[in-house]
Amino acid sequence: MAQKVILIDDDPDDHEIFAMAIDEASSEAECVLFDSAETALEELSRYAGKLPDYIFLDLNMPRMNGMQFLELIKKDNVLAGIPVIIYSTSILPSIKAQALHFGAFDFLAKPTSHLELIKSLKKLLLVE
Amino acid sequence: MQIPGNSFLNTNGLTAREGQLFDWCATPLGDPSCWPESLRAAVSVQLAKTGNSVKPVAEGDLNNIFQQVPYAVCILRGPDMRIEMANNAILGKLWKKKLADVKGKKMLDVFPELLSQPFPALLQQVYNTGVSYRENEAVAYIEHENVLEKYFLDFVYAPLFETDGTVSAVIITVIDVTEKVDTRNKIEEAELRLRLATEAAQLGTFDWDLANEVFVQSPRLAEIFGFGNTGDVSHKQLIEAINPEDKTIRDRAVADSYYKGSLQYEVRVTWPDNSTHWVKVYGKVVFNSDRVAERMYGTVQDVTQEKTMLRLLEAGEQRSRLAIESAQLATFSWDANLDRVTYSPRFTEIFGYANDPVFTRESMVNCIHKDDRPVRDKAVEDSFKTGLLLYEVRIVWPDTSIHWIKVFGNISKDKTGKPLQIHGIVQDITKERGALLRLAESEDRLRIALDSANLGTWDLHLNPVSIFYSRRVAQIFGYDKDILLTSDEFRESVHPDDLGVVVKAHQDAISNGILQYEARIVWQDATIHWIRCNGKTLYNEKHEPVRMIGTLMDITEERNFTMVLQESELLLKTISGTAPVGLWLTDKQGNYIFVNKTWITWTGETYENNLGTGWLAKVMPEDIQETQAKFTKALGSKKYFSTEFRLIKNGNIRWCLTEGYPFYGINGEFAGFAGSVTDITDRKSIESELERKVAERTDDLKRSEERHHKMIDEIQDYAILLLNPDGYIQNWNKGAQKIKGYTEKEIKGKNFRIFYTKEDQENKVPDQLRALAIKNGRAEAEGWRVRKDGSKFWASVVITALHDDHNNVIGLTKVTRDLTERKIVEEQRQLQTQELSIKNYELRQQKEFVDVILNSSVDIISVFDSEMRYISVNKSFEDAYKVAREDILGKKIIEVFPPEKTVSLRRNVERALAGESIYGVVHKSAITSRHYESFFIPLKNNNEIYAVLVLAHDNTEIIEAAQKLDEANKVLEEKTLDLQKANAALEKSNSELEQYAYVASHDLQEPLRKIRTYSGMLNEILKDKADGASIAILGKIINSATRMSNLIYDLLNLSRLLSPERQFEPTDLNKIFENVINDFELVIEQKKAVIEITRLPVIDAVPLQVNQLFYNLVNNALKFAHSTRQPLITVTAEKIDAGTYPEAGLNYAFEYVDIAITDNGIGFSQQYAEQIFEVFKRLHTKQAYQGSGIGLALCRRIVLNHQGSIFAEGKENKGSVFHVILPFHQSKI
Repeated sequence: MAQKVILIDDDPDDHEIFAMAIDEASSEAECVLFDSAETALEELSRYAGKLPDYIFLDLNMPRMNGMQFLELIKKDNVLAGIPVIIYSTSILPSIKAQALHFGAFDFLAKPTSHLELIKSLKKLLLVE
Repeated sequence: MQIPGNSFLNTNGLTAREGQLFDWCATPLGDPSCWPESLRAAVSVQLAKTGNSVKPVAEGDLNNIFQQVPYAVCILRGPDMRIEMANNAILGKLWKKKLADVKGKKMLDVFPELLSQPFPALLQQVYNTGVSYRENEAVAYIEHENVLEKYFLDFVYAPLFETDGTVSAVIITVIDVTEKVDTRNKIEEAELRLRLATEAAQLGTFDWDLANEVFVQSPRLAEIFGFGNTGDVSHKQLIEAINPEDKTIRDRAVADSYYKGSLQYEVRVTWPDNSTHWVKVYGKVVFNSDRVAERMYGTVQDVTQEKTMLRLLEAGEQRSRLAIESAQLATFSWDANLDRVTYSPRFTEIFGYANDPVFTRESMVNCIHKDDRPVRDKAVEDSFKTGLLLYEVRIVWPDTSIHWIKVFGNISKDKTGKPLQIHGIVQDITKERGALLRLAESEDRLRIALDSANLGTWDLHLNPVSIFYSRRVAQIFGYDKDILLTSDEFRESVHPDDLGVVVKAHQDAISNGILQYEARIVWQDATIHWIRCNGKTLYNEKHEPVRMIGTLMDITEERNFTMVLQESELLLKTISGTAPVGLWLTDKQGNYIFVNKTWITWTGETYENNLGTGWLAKVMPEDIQETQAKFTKALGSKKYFSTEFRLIKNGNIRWCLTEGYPFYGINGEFAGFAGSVTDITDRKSIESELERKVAERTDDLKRSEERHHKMIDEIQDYAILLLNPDGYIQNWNKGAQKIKGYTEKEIKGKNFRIFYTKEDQENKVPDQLRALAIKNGRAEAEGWRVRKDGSKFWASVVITALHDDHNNVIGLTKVTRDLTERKIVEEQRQLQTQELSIKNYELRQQKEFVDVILNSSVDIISVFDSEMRYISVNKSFEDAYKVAREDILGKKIIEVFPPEKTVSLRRNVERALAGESIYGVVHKSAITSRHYESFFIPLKNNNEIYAVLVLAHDNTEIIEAAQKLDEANKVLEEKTLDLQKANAALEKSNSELEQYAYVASHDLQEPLRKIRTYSGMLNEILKDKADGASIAILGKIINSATRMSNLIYDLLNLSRLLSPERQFEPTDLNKIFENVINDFELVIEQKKAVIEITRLPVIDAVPLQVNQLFYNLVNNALKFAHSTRQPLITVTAEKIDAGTYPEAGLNYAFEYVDIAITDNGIGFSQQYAEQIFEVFKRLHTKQAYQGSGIGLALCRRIVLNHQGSIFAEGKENKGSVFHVILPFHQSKI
């Protein structure tokens, strides 16, 4: 069954890189991109269509940051069950502790190599 | 047209009028009533200046006005917010731009950074709705020369209306309050630090570097967590010490702190000995510019004691008190719409209607004392205005008793101001109101508490009469302690004969305040008991008696004992006072300690003068020596003695016989002599007369037996008989007949044995006496003799032998005197003496007991008589004041000590003599210079104060220790404060650097990451299609990006090293090198390098840093290996002092180790020896040798952090030596 993955990140470059990596990692996976946490939350809160299997979440975003989004989504009975993977450039230990406290599922540092990212995603989506 | 509120426009002149008439609302300034004060001032000045102009204010003038307004003002025109006008204030300070550069441009084009901030939306909102918007201390970021600066601004966005009512522009007024906010924040922070600093002495402190997960704690923190002060405790160990049940508290608090910026929680920790301790953690989080938490620092406090106290409070007796207190909260709630009051159960209780189900608001109002109702009405009325209800009134209970209550309430209102609800509480403050009563009561409580538990206590309320009493009271009245008795029942118990006493005492007590009586009570089993009742009357403000409180004591035993004692004492006194003999008592040294009245009369001296050896004064000087010798001898042998001496009695000489008996204490110990003195002058004179006469008449006898017989016969007071040598009676006189009852006829020819008792006869006492007389010529005896009628009398007998010329015994005369009366008195006297000795013994026992107690007390005890003379002091007193008891007893205070040093002592003794018991006077003695807590207690006898007991407890040690502690704490506080100040300064500079490093690592990594990702992707796409040159170029891009990434990483490392806060610890350099060599295992193998390391010392160092140091140096040695030589690296260590390398600037107080790392690599020219340690200095091309150019700079920084030095020696193509000079020990300075 096709998996649905969403990325919440305000950086259009990262959208591009991520979407390409998903494409290469799994031909079946569907990737939806959001450029802000608010729009993502709004969309998810409608419970329309298939809920994503994974949420990749950037932390450093304007207006609502990733941590706030994480806290809110974990308060929603339906959405709380979706695994959230923190997807950020540098992940400080303190941030890590905080994210885990709010219920983050995993962490993925934004990679410096495209191939590395594809490898990580394949592992996650259990393509191989 | 006059515009109300615009009076500032009413200046003189035409323009002023114009100004008033001018339609300001149509101008950008808007309605004048909305102008800020400064604008008003500017306009009025402007109007005055252009006083002669008849033209309306031109735009140029308006512009002028604008420019002069001290506020930052600008106008944005149209829906796209073009800057139409901006004054100097906004241009210069806030925007830092010229008007020409911004005028006519869109706001967002000039300030694109505002896009991500809320201001554009707000402006739009004001523009669309026409409603002004105001905000204070809003955070705004404005970019100046590519740097975002943070401001705190107070601002107003006001719409400017066209004549048709549409909005055409928005006027912005801004005040920059950044400085104010910053200052306030700094003050807050400073206050926080101050508080932390003052607490730091007992606090553990920690500093948690979140970014690097380094947790540093003070030794005290480890102690608080139960690890002693080993200091070697990891963060993990600390967290594990937290009680598992409390772990979530800590986790939650830490997570919250990332938002709140502060950390605060209390948890239990389990010590290694399994004891539980409470720990309070308080901290602060430091964020970087992105609000990412970087550091957490703060304090840890052991609050076990506080917590334990609290728990005890909850657990023990106090819990019930708390329960009672909380139950005393009477709450009520009044609903205005329903006009209904709901209340807690306690509420009705306070009003005296416990559990009354129909207690309404009317009932409550009715309870209020008539006089106080206006108070309540006024308070309720006021409350509608103020929102607060507060009053104190008296209420009348159903039993007519009066109580004080305090009502406190809060009123909630609806929008129109109509009250909706009142919530409040009512407290019974009757007790508080009677502050005076309470004070008196507490004093008495104290006194009662000081008395023994045998006292019953009672509290009698007079109106209405009700009595409260302790259980002991019921027991004293012969009832079970739990039984409830009324005051009437108590009264009925009083003995009818004593009822008058009791009633009188109570009447007196009401008038003079003091209740005191002793009376008999009759128990239900009809037994009679004595009670002593002491009490005090309490009055209200009007001096009406309201209560009596006091104590009750069963004194039956005391009373009985006193009566018995009084009787026996009286008896003894009477006997010893009236006996015709002198009585005396000595102690075991032979000092007279008692003489009776008779003796006093005889000697004519006072009682005191007779004591000791004073009694000898009236003894004839000739007899003193013998008397004393006999007594001394008896004293030595502890045996009966008797002696005769002459006493000068009222000028006459009297013969006295004194006899003494030793007496012993209960434990069999010799206690002294008890004895008597008898006046024997009469006997003495008769005896000597008799002897004289007998001798005189012997010749006569021979000559005239008749005459002799006649004479003898006539003597009636003496029985004089003549015996033949065998003891047979030959002659008998009238005295003999009178004393012994026989007629001459009856007795003549009988043996004189007949006068002796059967026992004496059997023991041959008469024959022995006769034999003695024949042998010695004379024999004397005293003893019981038998009369004819068988009755006995005490006889004093003298038998004298009669001799013929040849000295043959021809007969015996026997003279007998009846001394029965004297004997009886003597026996009585002996009995009394014994009693006296017992009495004396008891007294002495008591005195000894008291003496032992007094002298064994460490407290200083002295007793003064009513003249303030010392009458007793204990050993502690002698020791403390360095005086001997004998020297001060009987003297006044001022005779013993300098008067100026005893002012307060004398004052307090005076107060005590006036009847006041003074407890716990804390003072420093001017004599001993020590601190005492003193008690002055009046000693009473029959209500009369005869002495004052002063007890002083030396608490110098405690007070001095407390003072020293205070001083030490003060010094500590100051030092801590200094330390904290220095820390704060250091922290500030460090955090700035760290922030820079973070920006470098994060923000620079971000674009680099993309470069690397994209070039990687490009490489994938092109690798099969493009030509070699392109691929090579791409490779260079990738390499450069990777190198820059490493560079940034190293920079970050360097900046971290700038923070010197790392913990030094003894570090084994051998282990460090072991680690380093391990890291290079692969390279060493590849290059076939040889590394030789001599034995290295253990020094004070930060292990991670020295690891990095030697890692870099070994790395360099391997990296710069010679292409044709097998790399050889040697590491040696040598102990040196500061003088070894004078140019290295070493500290002469330290000892150093010189670690030399020598390689045989490419080396360098000595002229570069210093340059290589600078950041980004490279001697070689990147192509030849990789590296960021930071490595050696890092090494130097590490060595400096360790107060050491590093330098290099090199020879091109030969190799290099790096000297690392490190101190063995780190100075704390």
